[in-house]
Amino acid sequence: MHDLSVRFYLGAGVVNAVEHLSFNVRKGVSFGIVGESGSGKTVTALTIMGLLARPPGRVDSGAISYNGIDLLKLKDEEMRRIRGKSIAMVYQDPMTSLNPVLRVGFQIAETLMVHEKIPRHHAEVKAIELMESMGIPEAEKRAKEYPHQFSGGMRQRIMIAMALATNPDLLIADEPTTALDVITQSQILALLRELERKRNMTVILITHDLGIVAQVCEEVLVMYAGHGMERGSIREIFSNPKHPYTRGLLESTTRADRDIDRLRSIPGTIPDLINPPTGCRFQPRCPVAQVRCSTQEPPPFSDNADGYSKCWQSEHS
Amino acid sequence: MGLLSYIAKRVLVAVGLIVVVGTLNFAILHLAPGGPMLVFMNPRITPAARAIILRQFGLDKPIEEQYLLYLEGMVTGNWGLSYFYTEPAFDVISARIPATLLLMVPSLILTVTVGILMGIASVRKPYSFIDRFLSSFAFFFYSMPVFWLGFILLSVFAVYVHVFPPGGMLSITATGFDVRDYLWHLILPMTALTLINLASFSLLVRSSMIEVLDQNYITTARGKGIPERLVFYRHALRNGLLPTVTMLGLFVGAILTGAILTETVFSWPGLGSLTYASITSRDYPVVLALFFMFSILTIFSNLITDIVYGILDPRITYD
Amino acid sequence: MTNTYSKRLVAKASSFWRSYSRNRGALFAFFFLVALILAALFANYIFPGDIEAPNLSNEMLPPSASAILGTDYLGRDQLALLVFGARTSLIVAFAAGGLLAVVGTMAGLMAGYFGGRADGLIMRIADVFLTIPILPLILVIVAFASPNLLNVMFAIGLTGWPVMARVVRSDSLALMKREFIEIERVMGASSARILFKHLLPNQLNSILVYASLSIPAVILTEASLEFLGLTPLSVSWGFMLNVSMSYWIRGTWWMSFFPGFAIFMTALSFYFVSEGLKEALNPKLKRRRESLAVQVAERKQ
Repeated sequence: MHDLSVRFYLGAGVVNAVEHLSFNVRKGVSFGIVGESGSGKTVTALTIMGLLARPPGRVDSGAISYNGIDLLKLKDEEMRRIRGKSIAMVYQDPMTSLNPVLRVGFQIAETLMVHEKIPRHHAEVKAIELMESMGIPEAEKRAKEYPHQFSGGMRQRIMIAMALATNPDLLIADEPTTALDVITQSQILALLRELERKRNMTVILITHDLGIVAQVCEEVLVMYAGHGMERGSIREIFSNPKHPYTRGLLESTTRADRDIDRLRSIPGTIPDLINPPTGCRFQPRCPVAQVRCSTQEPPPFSDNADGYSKCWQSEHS
Repeated sequence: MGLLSYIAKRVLVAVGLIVVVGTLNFAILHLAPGGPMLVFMNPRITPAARAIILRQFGLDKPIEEQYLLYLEGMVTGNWGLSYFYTEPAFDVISARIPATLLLMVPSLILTVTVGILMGIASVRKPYSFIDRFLSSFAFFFYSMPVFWLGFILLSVFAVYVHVFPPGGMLSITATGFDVRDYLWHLILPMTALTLINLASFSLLVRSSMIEVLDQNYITTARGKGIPERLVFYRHALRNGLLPTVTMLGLFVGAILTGAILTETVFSWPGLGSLTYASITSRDYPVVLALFFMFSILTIFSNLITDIVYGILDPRITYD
Repeated sequence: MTNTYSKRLVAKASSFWRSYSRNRGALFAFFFLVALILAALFANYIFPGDIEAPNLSNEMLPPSASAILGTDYLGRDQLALLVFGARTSLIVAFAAGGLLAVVGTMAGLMAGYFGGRADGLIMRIADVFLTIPILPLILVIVAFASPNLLNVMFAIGLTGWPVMARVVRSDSLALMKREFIEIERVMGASSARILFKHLLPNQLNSILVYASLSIPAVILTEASLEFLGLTPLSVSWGFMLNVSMSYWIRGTWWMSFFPGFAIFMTALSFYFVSEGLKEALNPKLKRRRESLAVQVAERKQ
């Protein structure tokens, strides 16, 4: 992804959801995107998938390079063929993300029917297999049931099965465990790790919880207010965080506070995305802010191939 | 299991509602200035008939007994004696039911089918020209009094240009029921009634669909790479039409109300014009009985649509 | 002190006006209604004399220079009758609409605030009103009580509150979950205080919008009642249509067209005004479960 900017043009103003975001994801290397709600992570994911609601939203700049193609330049029909087949997504809320009036087995089989033109009964057999591999017991019977007859964890597994049906190269998981209890959460994460290994798939995991990232991902992007603040490998981020925001996040994680909306230990709140402050977006809350931080936005400073840190402090390293 | 208990619950509610309506009737009867005496004691009926009524309704007994007698009367079809016709109100009313059904049912069918089509057409491309045009059409007719529309249609098509008959259900010279004659008479009143109900119904369909299209599972469906057409018809529509079924039940109430006015304008010999006639002639027993009839029809249709909804929604059938 | 307050008020009012006027339909409707109200108020001056007096030499004349909208079956000028008729419609519209709004708001607030059994009870009563056909009910009420304007207003107001109550209830429920309400309760604020200082003011906007949205239905219901002859007011739009029923076969289209048109225009204008209010007062995209159908369907489960 290179220099992506996504804005929402609403009646009340223009929301700068994502600004000048750039990062690389390497094949087979699990990647995590971390940030508070409102940091632009979901918007980024939707843009990759081409699911952005185009009337209010608009991609104002950038390119997304996938296997050599710029996804943003594709026509709708071409993108549709990639979507669900080579790039798949698992969504945040399993309770509302499955169609309540269609049978579960069918919903999984549908992906196969659409992309690989397999007849229905074949696809449904494969769907049952997928359900079994996800650890859903009595898959054959349960495939005929409806989403409301399953628990949250089960529904999440169904969604993963749905996403994996066509063996995609890239799986984007948007907060796959937020709506679940801790036990189920670890089960799902373990499942994701296993899938990564077995299918040689690249997983982009989006979350607000650094702990989850630590369990599953090898490389991380930290986002704040629509900007990519720091990117690096897991080891670098955790042992030697370069960006003050990353440092703040790490400090708050040890407090085991499961507040979803705000990380209370970093004082202040996220800036107004309609009228963002000039300079570095994090500056109002930054403990080591300098004078120039409020007037000049720092460029990403990097000391290796993929990692970077958007902070004046990192200028010298 | 889930479905049966659901149906049982609905039937119970329906019965309860009927009792409530009966009670309302009773309350109105006794709270009216003059009380039931005035209502039931038509000066024109013979003392013998008066005595019968007195006994049947127990108007000289304490009020709790009267209440029970009244409810019993409602159930057994004893709805009072019409002033005007000096026949039991029930007979008067039931004679008119077929005519009203002959008007309402075609209108209902047309309203639902066209309304759904219109709603779908507007939602395919929200806020597009078609959408705005259809929505404008909708609230244009929504604000229109049905009797006014009826008059316009009559004046234009029956008086100015003698294309359609000026009212009534069958020609006076007809012997028996001629389908073609009936249809010829049906067109104008049905148009008036349907146009206006179509307006609100299509708006309801539209808003229900818009809500569905906003749901997460539609994003999921798109994310699977399903072509938009399939997303709309297979995923969105099935969910969006479910509340429509429920709405239909309420809608019958609206159509009934509209029928009262439409029948009056077009002199259609059904329950509606009977309502008008009995109000004008102060035939109180019939008015009260008509209210009961309308309520029963509405409650019953609500029950049916609820049951159909229960069958269609898997969340109720499988639980 | 008061100076800055009134300045703020003026600023708020003018920004409201600006966003309201973006909707041209709403703007036009607003002016139409203002004109109508003024005409109704000053009807006596515009049409001096007894407009109800029969003028038998001029019976049923089509529109002409002397009688712009024609004359009715008694030879009276229709334009004058219409303007006087506006009084009835407007009075009922505002009175019944107001009654409906007040009762509905109170019911909704209580259902939302107290929750539990009170909520269930209120909603069950509202359900009854929803499943019983309203017009017949009103017919019966008005027919049995003496058919005068006051009863009409009460009947319409008292049968129309459920829709309002439902909206207010869902808004109240949503508000009750917010933190500041929790804070108030913990601090021991009285119910009345929470209801009136917090729940109500936050909903005034939507209450206003829904109240104005319910007025077209009120107008149509009132017109229907008059059309069916339930109110003995000879100068009312609905009744004019009733009378015209006996005469239309002779081709006196103006006797039916103009009164009906007046009803139509007034109802439509109130509808546009409510749409304009909705857009002007709710600039943020609030996702609310408005669809009546979905709400009803939800309650089945």
